[in-house]
Amino acid sequence: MQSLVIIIISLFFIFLVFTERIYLLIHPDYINFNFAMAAFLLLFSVIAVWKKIKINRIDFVILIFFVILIILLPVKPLSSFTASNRNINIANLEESDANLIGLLQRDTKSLTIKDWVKLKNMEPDIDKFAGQDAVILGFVFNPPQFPKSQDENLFIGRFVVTCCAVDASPLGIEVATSDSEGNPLFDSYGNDDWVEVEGKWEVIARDGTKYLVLQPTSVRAVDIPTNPYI
Amino acid sequence: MLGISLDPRVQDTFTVFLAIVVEATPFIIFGVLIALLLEKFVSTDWLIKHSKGNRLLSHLIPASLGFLFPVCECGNVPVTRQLIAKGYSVSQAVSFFLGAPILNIVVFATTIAAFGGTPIIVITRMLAGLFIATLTGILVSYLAKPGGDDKELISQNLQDFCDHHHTKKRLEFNPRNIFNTLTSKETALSVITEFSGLFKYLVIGAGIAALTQIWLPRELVFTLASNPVLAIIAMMLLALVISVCSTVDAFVALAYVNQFSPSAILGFLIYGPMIDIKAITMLLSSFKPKLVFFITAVVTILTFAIANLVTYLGY
Repeated sequence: MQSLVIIIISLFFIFLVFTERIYLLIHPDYINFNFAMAAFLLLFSVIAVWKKIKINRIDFVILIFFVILIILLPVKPLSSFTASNRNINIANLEESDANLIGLLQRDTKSLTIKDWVKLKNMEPDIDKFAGQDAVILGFVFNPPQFPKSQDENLFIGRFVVTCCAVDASPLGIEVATSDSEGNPLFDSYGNDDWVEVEGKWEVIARDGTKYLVLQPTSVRAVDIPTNPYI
Repeated sequence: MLGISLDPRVQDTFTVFLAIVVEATPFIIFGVLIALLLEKFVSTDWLIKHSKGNRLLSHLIPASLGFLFPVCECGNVPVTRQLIAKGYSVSQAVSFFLGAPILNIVVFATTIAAFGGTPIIVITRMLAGLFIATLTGILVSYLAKPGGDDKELISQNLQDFCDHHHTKKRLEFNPRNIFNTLTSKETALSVITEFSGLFKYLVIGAGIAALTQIWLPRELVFTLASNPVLAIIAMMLLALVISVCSTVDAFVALAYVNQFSPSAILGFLIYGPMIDIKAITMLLSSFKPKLVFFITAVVTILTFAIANLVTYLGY
């Protein structure tokens, strides 16, 4: 009966795939492989229970410990805490994408946060972005050590994941907390709330540095996307 | 699944831990399945025959055998013992033992999955593994008395094993045999035993990685990471302690990629598969302590030198 715990573990992997929670942990490219191997493990663990195979005691203790963890704890995306504590890494993205430049002349509202960060890396003259429309989807976070143009401004972020949540590195866009007439828009939102912000880019100078800031016209709450990482 | 609400920092630790386990587990199962098929269906005899020749070649071949026998550092001890019983010299077996956990198709796949964007890490890991495994084997070959018996380097336990060894018959590779093999009690036993043994180290390794990634003070990590030599030593020490299976250690190393340079990450990725606490313990079951110490010293020096060379080259 000891092998029952391995049945539980393989069912847990299959459960993660069916409930789409696996997107919170690993890159989508690995989901099929994960599912196939979990199926194999399930097959062998069923045979093992049937043939009454025993598991080494220390191994068994660790397996039980793991099962208790997965039963008790929720599977959630990485939070604003980690986003604020990792280097908000914008230099590491893939090299230029020529199509993006073309998009700048057309409908800029369809660009994602990742596109904007790429564009910003490609085009050092951020004045060129001023006045462009943007719709940004992400979670709210507020990294204390990261320089910004106004102390009360927040960041809207997404994590970029290449393999799994371990290597997640945050992207962030600075956003003003009130609209151009000074009406507060973020009063009901805090860290880790997912929002869609619509607005225009503005360039604001502080202490000799220029910052690209999103001046919002509207903010609305959204559900966490199935795959919160990009 | 019950969804206990946690402090974000604790929750993120669990998320990172679970991400490593979920990403790595299928590769463990894959490795166990391949090893199983090879054990049942492929004979090692012809390899032994073709591993003779000059000193360089006779150690280079065993060092790269992992590409045919994808065993990680936990699975390679039994295979190493078997190779000695079948006629490999101790020094050749050492080359296999050190090379197989790195020069291995599953390790290659996981290293690409984790570090495909940084080819220098993938390539250097493979080449350094081949170089260290071959060179250490050659050095060990000088330890045995010329023309004499190298059995003085191995433990009594392994000598007895060799004396009683007899080769198992290989099965013909056809669907019926595959089905029978997959559904036999013996197979389920070896899969479940292998899996739970490896999973244990994965859970411990992922736990240490998640804790250090989320909880180590930023200043400490920054101080370590900003000094290239200290960074390499820190990552090699981590590899020694963490003992995670080489087929999935690339995912554990990813936890440090935001802070540490490729040279320090390489220190972890090259050293871990060859030497860690678990591997040393298992080696002592087969080799005399003198030989285990010699291997550990040579591999430590060579890994440290190569990682520093990578720093020197500007990575």
